Amino acid sequence: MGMKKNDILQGTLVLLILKSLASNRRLHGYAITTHIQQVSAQLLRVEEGSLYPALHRLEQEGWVRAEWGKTEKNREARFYSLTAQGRKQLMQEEESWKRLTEGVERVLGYA
Amino acid sequence: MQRNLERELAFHVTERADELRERGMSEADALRAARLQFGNFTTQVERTRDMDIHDWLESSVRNVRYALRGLAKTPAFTVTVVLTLALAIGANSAVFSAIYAVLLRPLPFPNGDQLVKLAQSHPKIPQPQVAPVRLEEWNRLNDTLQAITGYYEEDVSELSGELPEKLRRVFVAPRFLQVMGVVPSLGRDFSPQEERFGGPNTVFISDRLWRRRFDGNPNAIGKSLRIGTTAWTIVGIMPAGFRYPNRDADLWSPSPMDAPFAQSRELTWFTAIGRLKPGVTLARARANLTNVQANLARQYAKTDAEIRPLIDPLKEATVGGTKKSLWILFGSVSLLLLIACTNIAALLLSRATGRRHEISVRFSLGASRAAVAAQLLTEVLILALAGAALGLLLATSARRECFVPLPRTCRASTRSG
Repeated sequence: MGMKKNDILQGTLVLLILKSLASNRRLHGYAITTHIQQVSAQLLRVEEGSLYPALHRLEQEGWVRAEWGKTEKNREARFYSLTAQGRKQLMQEEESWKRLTEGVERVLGYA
Repeated sequence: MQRNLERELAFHVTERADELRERGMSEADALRAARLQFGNFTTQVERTRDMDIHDWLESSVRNVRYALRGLAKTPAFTVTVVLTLALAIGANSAVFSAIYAVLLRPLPFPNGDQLVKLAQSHPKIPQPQVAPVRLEEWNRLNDTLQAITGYYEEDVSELSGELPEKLRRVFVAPRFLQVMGVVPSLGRDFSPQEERFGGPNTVFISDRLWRRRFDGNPNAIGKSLRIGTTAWTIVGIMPAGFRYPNRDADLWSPSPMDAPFAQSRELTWFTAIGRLKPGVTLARARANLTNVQANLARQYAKTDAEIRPLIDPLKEATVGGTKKSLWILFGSVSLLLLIACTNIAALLLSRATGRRHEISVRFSLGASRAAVAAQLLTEVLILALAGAALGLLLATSARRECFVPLPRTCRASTRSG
């Protein structure tokens, strides 16, 4: 399905989501998008169409847990936080990302 | 779950709309822009939900493939398990079909549960059959039955064909069709004259005989069959599948109740059957008929004093004898199934023990308990389905080939009308 085609993009989104949740104890879906946008200085914009499917998958895998709560504006939202397994997964993803980028750079640098 | 998801997504859109409003957009524009930016709401919901189904589907297909491969690698095991299961299931299925057809299904006549068998009991006369005179009196004097009729059979030689043919003829008392609740598929019932002594000789023929001898031609009505020196005119054709009292019956003729030789009260000719009035219980009918017979006993003390009437449901009377043997049969095939399952369980256990290494490797690679269990269970499921399919196949072919050992009178009950 869609997953196979945008493999890299999906994988990056997972990494970004996990990292966002690592820096902040718990965030709801909208907060995650703003966080990524702000911290990346607007270089990255989360495609909102893929955010919630990705969050759902993370929940299925057991890397995040979710619970309903109230925002400061007293609205009901679903807040996500990392699980221990999620932290482990984040470390693995960061590792693979470092390897990937290093490899790409090396290939590009060779000319 | 869907509603929660919608709430969550709605919240997201609201927050986005808020942000746009802070930047100066009007409320309506902000909301619309937020929705647009979010993309199609419904597809979002569906896509999130599809993640689940997609994963599940993928893992199921994978499990099935692995399972088939694993089973193919150990053909001896697979064949043994499937055959064991097939035999056990097939046997159970066949026996239960028989039990259903014979014991559980109601008689294939309209309101079959109203049909009863009547008999007389006398300390010195072993035959339970009833004399014609008494049968008529019972029919006339009782309050609880719609009608009582009776029959007896004989083998005859039919001579009108190329070769003499042995056929089974049933002599029936009046009201036979009424009690049975059937009408001839062609032709009519016997007329009162035909039911009297000296009246025209008439006969019903079975559907089977009609097709064989007359090619199913409607002009068979009116033609004659020849039995002994007499010609018997065909006045009716019985519906297909009607074979009462047994599967050999091909001819039905009226038995004249007013014949001079039928007047003795000591005759024991008729196997009597009757139909209860709607809503009447067996107990009431028994009480009523006992009363009737008691009155007759007073009138005809010499012959009737010691006679007691018996009424039983017709189904009981026809299949009752086989009940015990069928249930014993059922018990033994159930035991067979139990033994088969125990065997298969043992085989599966030994197979699982041999795969301990494989399973531990799976766990170490990070598979969850549920995933490993699902994979093993898929294998068992495939075995079970294969065994069951084969078993049912065996059962249906057994029904066609083998004879269920019923008394001949049962045939009417097992073949539906």
